[in-house]
Amino acid sequence: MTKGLLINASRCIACRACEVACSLSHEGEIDPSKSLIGMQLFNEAYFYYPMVCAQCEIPYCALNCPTRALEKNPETGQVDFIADKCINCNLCTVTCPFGAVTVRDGLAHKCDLCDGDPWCVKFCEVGAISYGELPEPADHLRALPYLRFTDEVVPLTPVTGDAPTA
Amino acid sequence: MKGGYAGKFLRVDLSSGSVSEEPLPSDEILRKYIGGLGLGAWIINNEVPMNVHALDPENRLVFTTGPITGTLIQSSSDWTVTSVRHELHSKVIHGSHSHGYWGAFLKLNGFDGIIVQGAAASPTYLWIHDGEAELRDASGIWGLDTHETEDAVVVDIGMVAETSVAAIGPAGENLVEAASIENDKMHSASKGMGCIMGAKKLKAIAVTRGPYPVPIANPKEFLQVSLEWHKTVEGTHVIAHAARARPPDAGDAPYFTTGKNFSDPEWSKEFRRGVSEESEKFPVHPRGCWACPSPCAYGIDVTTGPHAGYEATLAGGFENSEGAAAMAGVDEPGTVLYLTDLVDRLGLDVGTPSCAIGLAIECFEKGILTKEKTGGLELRWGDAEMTEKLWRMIAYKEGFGAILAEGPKKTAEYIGGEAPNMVVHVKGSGPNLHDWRARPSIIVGQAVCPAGPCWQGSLGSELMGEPDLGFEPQDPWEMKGKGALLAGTQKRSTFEDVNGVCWFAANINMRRTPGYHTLMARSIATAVGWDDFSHEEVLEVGERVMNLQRVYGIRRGMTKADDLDIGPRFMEPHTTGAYAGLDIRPHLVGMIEEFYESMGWSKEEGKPLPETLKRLGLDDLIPPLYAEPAGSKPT
Repeated sequence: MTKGLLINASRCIACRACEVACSLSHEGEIDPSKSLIGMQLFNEAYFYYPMVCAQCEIPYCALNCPTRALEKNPETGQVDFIADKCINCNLCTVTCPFGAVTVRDGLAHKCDLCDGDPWCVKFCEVGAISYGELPEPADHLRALPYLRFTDEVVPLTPVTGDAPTA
Repeated sequence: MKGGYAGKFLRVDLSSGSVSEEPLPSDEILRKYIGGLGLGAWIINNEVPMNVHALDPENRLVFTTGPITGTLIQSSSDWTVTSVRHELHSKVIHGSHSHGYWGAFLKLNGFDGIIVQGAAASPTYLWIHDGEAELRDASGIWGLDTHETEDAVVVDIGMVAETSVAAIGPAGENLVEAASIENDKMHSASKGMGCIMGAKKLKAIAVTRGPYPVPIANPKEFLQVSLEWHKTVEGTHVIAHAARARPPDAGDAPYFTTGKNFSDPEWSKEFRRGVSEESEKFPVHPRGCWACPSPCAYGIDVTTGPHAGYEATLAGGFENSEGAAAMAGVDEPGTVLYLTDLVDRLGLDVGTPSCAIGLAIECFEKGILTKEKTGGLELRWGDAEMTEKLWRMIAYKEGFGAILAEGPKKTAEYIGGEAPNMVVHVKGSGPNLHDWRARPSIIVGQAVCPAGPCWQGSLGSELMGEPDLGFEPQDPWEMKGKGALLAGTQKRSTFEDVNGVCWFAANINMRRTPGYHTLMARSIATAVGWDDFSHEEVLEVGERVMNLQRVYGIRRGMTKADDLDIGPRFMEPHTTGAYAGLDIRPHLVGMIEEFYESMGWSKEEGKPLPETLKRLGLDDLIPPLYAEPAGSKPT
């Protein structure tokens, strides 16, 4: 089983704490454009969700990477990025169907799952992002890129204390 | 200074049409005033002379953020607009706060704030993008309501994604005193800042998310502080009540709901229950502000009643609905949400006009006000169509609406007879609309707040205890000590107005948590790099800003008599229910004097003492305060 980030779009409220936490923990500064998890916003429809590396079963980014800087890890099932091998050819950004790989400063960037303790999950109090075992895609989807959305509702913290009064 | 701040201000001179950048004030000044209301008040005090009226071009409209704005601290979405408050006859410096994405987007453009001066010859709007700013023609959108303006501006700039627009509506254009600035469809900077923007013919400020990172001095520590903050707030998610437009019917809450000009607490209680229960059936779409997982902002689809099919975009608690509908006796749930949204669209704050509306209707019902004086209008409790008409007439200053737009005190004078004894106001303007007669310290807080009635006046001493200020929730019936506790809560409240965090979403539970002040101090220390910023400094900054505002107010003619100027109805005890007979009137002067003394102000006049100003490093304010003859400078 592959561990990765699960997205529950119905929970997302577009607070963007995931983007801020990601850029702050990786870059030491606040810049959503450098976040490895990116908000998709359809404000008029109140529909929003974060897009992030799906650790695809068959990762197009890795298939097309000429230097194997991106590679499916046979043990963890995750798509690893080896910075030393990256030659800044941009093929990964073109082939990833989710826009989850970006290239800046001559290097590809994608979600590294924060060594198994993702900051975005810690700050997602509404439970739109969780870290766990990704659901197996159905057989007919196995060869296709498959974003791991989930219907599972992560319970919110129960309400305690008094109501705000303003 | 290593982080927290973007590093510069934008100065916009509308008279000459020029836009320029300037550096932030020195590190020393930043540490004294931090940002938000603090920096805004400092700039107003420096740049706006005592004889300048709020609507004069020489007045400044200062948009500021704090060093925490746009970061990871819970609801670090706060942006502030500070100016001389027109509602209070240009006597005070007031900072209004709003939220959403606007402040964070501004900072990501490399600006900590915008200083707007002068007045444009024709309608104009400002667009900030890619770290640059340009003034653009707004003739085509002048006249639109705030929501239409937001959409029209985004179209005008070419549908650029991730653009947040702060705009005025018809009320601001027509210089209605209570006009507000609305942004991101759901949020507003209230208490009359919109009419100053209108006087400058500035229709909107659009900010597209910028490409400049916000630096953080100590990212690792700051992540930990943010996480601690989030985890502390987690227990009381606003999401579960405010975002569902149904505040819980728990404890004493019903007694705080107001309606019908504060004349009928039992009706108001029923109003709250009815609207809460009915609107529970409406689909709700919460939307968070920057880094805020407790969304009090939401879209809501009205599915029943005459406004079925209407989608309202609201935020905050019940305050706006009480003002927009309950004060006129309207309680059909869909109509309540529709009217609340209408007031936002017109670009109005509810407090001041609704106290005038409530008073007028009650006077009409009692025969004190007649058709001759209302321009033929028949005013009755619960007439939704008439209420909508009145709101529109206020925004456009039409007929009787022009009288109501002047606020409750002037409306009472216009009506005459018994009306001045039935009015709710603080210094002539509307208070934050709940029935605070069951929580007297909040009434006193609204009265002595150096910005005039607003939430800087704090939530008082009875609703919750604050371990960091060393007190347990106070008995509402106990009048002694309220003034002294209020001095502490207002200093803390004022700090929450300068750091860039929304107090409503983030701070309510924090105040009950020991170590809150230390956490605020650590957030500043780790973001900016002032490693020795302490929790004592938190209260000191709040106190300094309050004193600056107070001195400015006194120099412009604010007196103790103004602090005691409260509409009689706002202090009239309930006759039924748990708080019947709770009467603050005999204690009011004592409480206010106790507050003055706790602040280090003179008991007789509420004038900051020289030693208080010296202790706070405000020595330069002593000569003008004590040498000048007080007040009455503005025309």
